[in-house]
Amino acid sequence: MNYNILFCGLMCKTFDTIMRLMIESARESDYLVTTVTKPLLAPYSVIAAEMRLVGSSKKDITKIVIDYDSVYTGEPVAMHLTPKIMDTDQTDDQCHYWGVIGGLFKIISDISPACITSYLIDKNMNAELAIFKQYTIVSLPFS
Amino acid sequence: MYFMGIINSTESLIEYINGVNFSSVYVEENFPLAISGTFRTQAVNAVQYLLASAVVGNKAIGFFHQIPKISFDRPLRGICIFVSANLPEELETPVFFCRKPENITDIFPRALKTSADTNMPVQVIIAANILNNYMTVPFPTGDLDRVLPYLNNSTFAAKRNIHSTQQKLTAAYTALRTSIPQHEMPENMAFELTSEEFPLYIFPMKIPEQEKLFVKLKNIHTTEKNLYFFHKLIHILHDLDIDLSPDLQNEPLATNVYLCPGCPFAALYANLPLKDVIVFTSVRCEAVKNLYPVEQISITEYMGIVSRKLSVATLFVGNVSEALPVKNILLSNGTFVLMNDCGEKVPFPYISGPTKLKIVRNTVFPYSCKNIKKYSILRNNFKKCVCYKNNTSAECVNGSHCPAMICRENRIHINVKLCTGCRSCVPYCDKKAL
Repeated sequence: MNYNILFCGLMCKTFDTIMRLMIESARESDYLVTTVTKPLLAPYSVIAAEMRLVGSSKKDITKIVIDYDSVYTGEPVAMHLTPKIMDTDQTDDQCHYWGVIGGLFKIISDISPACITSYLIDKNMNAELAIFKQYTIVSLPFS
Repeated sequence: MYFMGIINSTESLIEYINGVNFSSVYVEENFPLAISGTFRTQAVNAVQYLLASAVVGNKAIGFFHQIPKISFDRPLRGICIFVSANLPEELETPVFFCRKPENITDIFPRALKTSADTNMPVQVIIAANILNNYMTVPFPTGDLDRVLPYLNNSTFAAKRNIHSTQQKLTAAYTALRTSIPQHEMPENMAFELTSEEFPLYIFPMKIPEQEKLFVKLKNIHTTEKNLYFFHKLIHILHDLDIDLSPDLQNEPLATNVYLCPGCPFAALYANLPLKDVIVFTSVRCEAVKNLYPVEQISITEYMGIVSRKLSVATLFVGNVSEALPVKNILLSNGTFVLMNDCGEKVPFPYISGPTKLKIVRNTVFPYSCKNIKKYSILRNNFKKCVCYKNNTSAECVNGSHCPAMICRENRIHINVKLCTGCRSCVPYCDKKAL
């Protein structure tokens, strides 16, 4: 399958960490990965990056929006992951970012979450790991 | 941070720039790159600063939202690089284009070398896609040489020799073609679309090898604002019949726009009746431009506009540092809100906090975009906070565009790490919850 995943969020540090982990995870699963970033309008503006995963020669592309902070206002997309859809709360320490990204592994089941799990274990981020694991197994409304 | 072989292009670029030992660095206000400049001034003056620095042999680099016109008549002994995220309006110097993250590591070192070889400033245009993107190849180590500046009585009297400049440009182009070969352009070309082809560099003169690249080119697709640049390009390639059509639109934003917490513009628009006022500003901020009807001009231009009393109300928003050279002639016809970025004195009343703005008049705002002050953090009365519970939109979030407000458990929560206590959100809440 081919995927176009738009990531958007406000907290650049966690956003950046997850982007790197996702690129690595997708590459390990033999996807061809390209990233396109959107302009940053102001230092605290929304960071948006599109990750294009090519996994087959078919022309079908599944569009997914990973909307960490409920900031997406573009065209409606069937697979739109927000904290509200994931039934998690936005937190000051960005724990919900890990929950939302957990949902992505539910949609793209051939990408292994091992890279993220091992990163969170390595960094002793137990709360983040718990929420990530919780949402990789949760049932999504559209999955 | 190098992490699993994946490198953030912005971090890597900053690391490279720090490694090159630039003597003069200019970063225009709000340029989206976390690098600090050695000089603060308006973009037009910064060009002269960087060129003069390079004339005596220094390495100089400047980051601009839009590169102003570069006019230089002295040969440079050092390196001078102008970086921008937008296409220039003039084509006076070699221009390098970075549209894909994988090109960035080649382009910057080559731009530096071209500037050294041609004794000319060089422009590097980085597409929006370059910043904050991800790549796997790190930058090569920067050129760590420190060149001692050299100045004598005739340094600034020397004039650029046009004939030798053309020879140097041709030689530099030939050398560049062997190190970064370019392939022929197809019938269509567009800078704004990553799917379309675009050259990696363009030199501002007729070079037969360069012209060969464009022989098949029939159409240039672009947006209205980049027309100037392509007119100049077609002028250089004047033997070719190329259709230039401004048929592209700026891509609509797919997300909400947020300002910085404590943004002075959020405070202005929340506290002042600006509905019938034409607001001018010298502050370059894409988010502000997106959200508010502001016109981008310098303080000098504004003083020209209000040199006679106008029938409409106007307001100029700028920094105190820009007003210092003209503080003795600030005219009574205009109205100024100057943001205190340097602690210097201007003859206007100073206010202690953003909420003290009540009527449109000459004022010094307590801080600028560079030094946003923190006040006591705002609290939310959860009993009164009912917008989300009633499934209505929260005006405090929509009106203030503040990233410190988050929705949790159907209520607005204030992110204490971000909130500066500017209270720009307060006027928008009719429930008095804030």
